[in-house]
Amino acid sequence: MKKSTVIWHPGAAIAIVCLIGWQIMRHKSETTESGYPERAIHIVVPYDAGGGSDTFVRILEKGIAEDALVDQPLVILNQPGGSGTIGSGEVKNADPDGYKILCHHNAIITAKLAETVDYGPEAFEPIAMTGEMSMVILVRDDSPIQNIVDLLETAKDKPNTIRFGANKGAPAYFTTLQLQKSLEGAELTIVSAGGGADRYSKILGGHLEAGIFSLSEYLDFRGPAGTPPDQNIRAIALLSNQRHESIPDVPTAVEMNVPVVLTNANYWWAPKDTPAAVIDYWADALDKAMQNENVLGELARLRMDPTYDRGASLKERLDDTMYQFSLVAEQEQTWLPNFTVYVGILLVVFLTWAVIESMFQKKQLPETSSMLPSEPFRKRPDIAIACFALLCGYVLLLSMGWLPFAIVSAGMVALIGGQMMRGTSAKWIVLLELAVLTGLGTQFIFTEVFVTPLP
Amino acid sequence: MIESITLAAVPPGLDTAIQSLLTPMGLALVAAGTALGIFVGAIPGLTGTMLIALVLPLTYGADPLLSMAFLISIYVGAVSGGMITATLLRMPGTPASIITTLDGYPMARQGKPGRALGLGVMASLAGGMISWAFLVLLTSPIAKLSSKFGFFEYFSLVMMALVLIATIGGKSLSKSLFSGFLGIFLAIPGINAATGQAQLTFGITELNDGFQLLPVLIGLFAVNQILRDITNIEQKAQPIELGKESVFLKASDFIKHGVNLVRSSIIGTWIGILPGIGANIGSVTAYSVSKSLSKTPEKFGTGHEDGVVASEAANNATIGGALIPLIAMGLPGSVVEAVLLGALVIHGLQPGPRLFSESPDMVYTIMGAMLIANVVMAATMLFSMRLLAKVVHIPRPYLLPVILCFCVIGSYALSHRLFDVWVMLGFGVLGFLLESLKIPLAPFIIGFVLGPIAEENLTLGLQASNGSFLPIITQPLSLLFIVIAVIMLFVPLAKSRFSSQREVVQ
Repeated sequence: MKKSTVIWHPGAAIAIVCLIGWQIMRHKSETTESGYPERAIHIVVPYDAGGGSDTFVRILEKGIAEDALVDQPLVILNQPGGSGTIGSGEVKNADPDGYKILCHHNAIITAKLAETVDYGPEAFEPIAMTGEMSMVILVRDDSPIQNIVDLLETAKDKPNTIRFGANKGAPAYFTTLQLQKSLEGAELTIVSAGGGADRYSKILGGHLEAGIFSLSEYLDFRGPAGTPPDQNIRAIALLSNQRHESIPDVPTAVEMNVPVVLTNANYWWAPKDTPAAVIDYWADALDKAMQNENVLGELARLRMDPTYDRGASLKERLDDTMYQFSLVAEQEQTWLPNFTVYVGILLVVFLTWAVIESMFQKKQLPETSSMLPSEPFRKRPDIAIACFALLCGYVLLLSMGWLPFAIVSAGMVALIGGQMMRGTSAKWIVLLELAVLTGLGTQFIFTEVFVTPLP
Repeated sequence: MIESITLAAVPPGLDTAIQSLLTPMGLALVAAGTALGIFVGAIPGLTGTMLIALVLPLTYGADPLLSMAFLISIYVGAVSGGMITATLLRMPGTPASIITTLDGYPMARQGKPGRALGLGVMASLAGGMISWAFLVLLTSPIAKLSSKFGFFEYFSLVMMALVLIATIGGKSLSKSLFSGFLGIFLAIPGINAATGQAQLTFGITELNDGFQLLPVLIGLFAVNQILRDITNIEQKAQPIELGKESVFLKASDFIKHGVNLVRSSIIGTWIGILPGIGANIGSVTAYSVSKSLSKTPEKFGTGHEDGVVASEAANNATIGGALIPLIAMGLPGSVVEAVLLGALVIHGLQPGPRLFSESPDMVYTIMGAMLIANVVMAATMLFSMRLLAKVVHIPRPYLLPVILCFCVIGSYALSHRLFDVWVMLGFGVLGFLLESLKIPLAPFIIGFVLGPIAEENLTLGLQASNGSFLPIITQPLSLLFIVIAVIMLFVPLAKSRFSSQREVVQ
């Protein structure tokens, strides 16, 4: 024990000095600029790191950094979940100062129409549209369906025999409703079958007859020439206004007189009432970034069209998309069992059973924990409760944001450790050193090594 | 040229896996993970599940292959490390080594702590290796079979898995079932993947994504455990000093315990494959089987070598077993697998039958990491046992607050919102209450993970069949799973057999 304290104290002291030095350096470098932007800007991606939206934002961020289009570092925040509504809600409620902006596609419109959330594009200031992805309808290669008209006529002749993969509430779902509407009496069985890879394997496995995919998914999943038809997929229609150069043989739905168009465009949003100067600053930066050669190269690799739009014409485009989707927004209710109720009932049943059983068992069985150490000691639930209260106070302080993370964390470690020290041989000085090290150390590791923002 | 020809002969993905594992970086991570796992596993009150849940947020930005290799190594180390304190302190470092205390501690009291630990390491290595062989042999065929599953087959499979946890998982069937359904129920809030509708969110936008797995796990297994440790802060134990005695064994020891090693490893692997039950049940079962087959059952519990061997071989063998359904079907075999499942999802991979065809490199990395970690584990334990036996006595007041700080950061880092931190705190209290009422947490977590999978597949199946439930019993595989589930639920034989085995142990 003594040997270890000889190493510990000088080691801890040196580490603390280094970390304080790092803090001072950081503060010096931060307080130089004036005017927007004065500090790092957070870009919220409402999907997982590594997904399509995330990849796209990171490409643009690289372009912006290369040409130094924004004077402060950009921090990409992945806030996935709830079909993108977790991230969009976070930006909607942020201060309209231009330090938190959102990149989100058409799902921001459909989330409102599907009543997932009660806000849509009107709750934000649109900055710009950057990049569009074409969408295609796929079938298995051995399917008798040759084109979009075949598909709809089969759906009319034999209603509900075509299982069509499109996620409920997502843009593809609304497009599917539009398709159905374009031929009176056509009825597709719409199945939410998860992500692109899921829908692909369900089509190959014969669990779906057709589905909507992005162009890049189609080109990735398509087998090489000579793949047996029952193990390959085929595009029957492109949902754009013109044919795409990468698949020149695939006709558009519009050509076949089915006036349905779906592209997945990426939009940039700021909270409502963000100053116009900030909106323009960003619209300019994104405009230039979309002309960066590396960005264009990367987008071409993703088969994304480098379209760009801003200002009044962007608003018009959004209104039009909103109008198109809202025409079919009345969802038909497929009959589905109410799982919440069933699970709730079973929960109550088993709870009752467990309570009754334990009431009877208490009389029969004594405690059988003789397997474990039996040296008697005093239980201290009081300390546990005090520590938990301190922990809640810590999280509350973090959410207020009054004090820096490092100070609050060091205080928490010292106080909770202090609670536990009652009745043990631990020493205050070691605990205090440890507290300072934890506060500064975690901040260092997370901001410098993992580049994750802390509360 | 020659290189490309030899590479073409190996299965796709194996080369990538080897290239990422057999580098200084890869090997260093596996070694570090194993050592960290042993260390944390050895400290009573800190478990492998807790460590893995807390390390996972650190891997967000890192390479997926190396991240998984690191997590798997921690897992292997943590299951093994618990034997040190189980033997020397009579306090199991992790729940997996509870059974090791029965014979390990008496052996140590009789002046043979080194031999007890040496046997434990040997058994752990054998258990890990045998279950690894099963992992390599069984995963691919099972994955091929399950890739043909449609919505209803998957639903029935998950139902079977849910029934299995309830019937074999714990002492009380009713408490296990309650725990499982509570898990399913608390997984409901959020936007339903199949219908796109928000359920049980009460209009709170933050709840649109429900309760995230990671904050729930950190709460249930880290915060809960720390609260329990604080309650027991005055508990003291006198360690038995590890003298000059060697921990290395002779070749003849392997032959002497050969049958027991193989039998306990196979039992451990099988228990591992069954969903929801992990290393502790594996070692209980192997121990009681060894005892009932032994010529000298009365010696068990008094410092019998066979007891240590059975327990440690089986608890390490559950690792390989539990990885099989995780990789092949995307179903977690135990609580740690539920965390690993979350890790795969966070790194953009969908665990399930397609993992093998879409990311073979990940599958081979997991297998390779387990193999290397087992060797590293045995070597680390044998050569640094004396050091480990001393280091595990870090005073709690230093350790626990720092871990709490990591709990908060870990939950926050998932999607950068404090909502998740409050969820973590809430589930910490819930876990504490449930365990205080002797309600097991494993069924809760398995229900929490499997419930939504079952619901989604059933809903999609119903969407595809236009509302008909018939395919559940008309499709042969689906019918098979349902029949097995019904047998498991209504023939209480398995349950009563299991509880009589428990009595044998006590």
